[in-house]
Amino acid sequence: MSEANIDANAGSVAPTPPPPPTPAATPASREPDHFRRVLTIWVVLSVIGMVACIFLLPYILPPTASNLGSVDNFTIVLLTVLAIPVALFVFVFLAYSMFAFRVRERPREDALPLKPRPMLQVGFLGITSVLCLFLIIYGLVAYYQEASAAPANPLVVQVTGQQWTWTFYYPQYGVSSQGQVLELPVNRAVQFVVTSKDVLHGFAVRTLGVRVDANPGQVTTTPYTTPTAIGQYPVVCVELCGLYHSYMWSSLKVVDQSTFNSWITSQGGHP
Amino acid sequence: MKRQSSGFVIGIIVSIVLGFGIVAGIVLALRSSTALGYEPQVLQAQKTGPGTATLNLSTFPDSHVCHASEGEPQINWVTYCSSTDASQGTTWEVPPNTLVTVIINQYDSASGLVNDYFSQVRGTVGGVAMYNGRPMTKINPDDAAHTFTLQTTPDSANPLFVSVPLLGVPDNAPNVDVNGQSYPKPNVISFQFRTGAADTYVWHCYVPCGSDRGIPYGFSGPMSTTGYMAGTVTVANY
Repeated sequence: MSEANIDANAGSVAPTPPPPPTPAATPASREPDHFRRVLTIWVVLSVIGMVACIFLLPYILPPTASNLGSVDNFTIVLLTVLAIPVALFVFVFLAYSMFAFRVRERPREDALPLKPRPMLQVGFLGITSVLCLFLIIYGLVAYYQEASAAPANPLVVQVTGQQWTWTFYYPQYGVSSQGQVLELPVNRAVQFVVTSKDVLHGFAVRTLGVRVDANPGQVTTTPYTTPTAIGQYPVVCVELCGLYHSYMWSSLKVVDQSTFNSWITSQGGHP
Repeated sequence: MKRQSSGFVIGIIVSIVLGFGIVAGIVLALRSSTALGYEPQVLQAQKTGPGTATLNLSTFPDSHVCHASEGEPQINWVTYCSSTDASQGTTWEVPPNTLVTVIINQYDSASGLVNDYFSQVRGTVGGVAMYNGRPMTKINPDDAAHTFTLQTTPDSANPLFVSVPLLGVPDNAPNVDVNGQSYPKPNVISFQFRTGAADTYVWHCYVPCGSDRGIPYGFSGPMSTTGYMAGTVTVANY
């Protein structure tokens, strides 16, 4: 019997002791709208995370010195921004459920079975598909731009990995770098032709956005990349290749064209 | 005497076996790491005057002279060591801001280079090396037995790169005796380079002269173990 019924019947009968309160007699506590609540938390955290990512990641990522390097960094920021709401979707719903639906006693019966919600299923599949499709299209467009655009007068550098150094040959000038130096002119596209003489090495110039496997007996050509900032940057091996792998290192020097010409001459070539 | 439960006895036995296993594992691991990181006695370049020093080295086709106490397979590994004291091997020290003369007695036959880059003399004074008294800037890549290649470690403030191919001895070379061992008469290769400020470098050979003298195992064994065809060069005051 509800409280309203009790009040309505109070005057019709002789005074009787009030019945003991029963669960049905107390006002029903209103269940909060969990879905709306968790959705709000998710949206707020996602927006905060995405904005923080956009503004903070450029300070964390290594500097770039080429068009490809800039594309690399932009791609990392973009993928991280896209990944934040996806990751938070899982974490927020999980954490919210752990707190909101916790029970102190061991449950005696199973939870209510989930009823299929077509909109939820379609939405989940749809959003996931759109994200994947976007990534595929983005990757294909980026790859097309890198692979198809053949700039005028590119510089070709043949890179050979051998335990444990890189050697650089400039076929257009008929000369090799005398030491552990890769010198490139600024604002001139360069293409690396990479191979190995022994084991698998990894040729990586992070600032140029170049990272390619150096395979023995195989020649791999990288997309064109254009150094855009004069400076000195590391060239490393990123495949564990033996005793002195950690010393398999060279120095990239991006210089102006006249300095590059002088360097070529000093190495025994003819600019 | 109090009777112990069978579980207690089994626990004791298992603990003893495990203890022995752990000790054996540590010993084996230490032996392995010692082999990989073997650092022989330091060979200091001999100062010959103000701002000059000389480093006397030898390269042998086996380790009977340089690592006489080693067993199989190391005793058959090619190796570098000092020409004057075989106990001084591949950890070298040279003074800073000095013209260093390196003299190498090369007793090994040719294996051939896999990367022609190393057939040219690089980083020496004048870009040349003396081969049995004859100045040369380059050798036939197929005639190389080893290389002397010294290179800079990452982030070093004093870049240094010296690479000299070492000419292999001919098959018909007359034999000579070294510490009771018979070897072909060596090629004597010498060159000079200048050191800068104090720093540390690594050196090694770029000819695949390891286990089977070819690809891919030519880069294993002595080529992958310090103390044979690889080591360090420290530029320091002494």
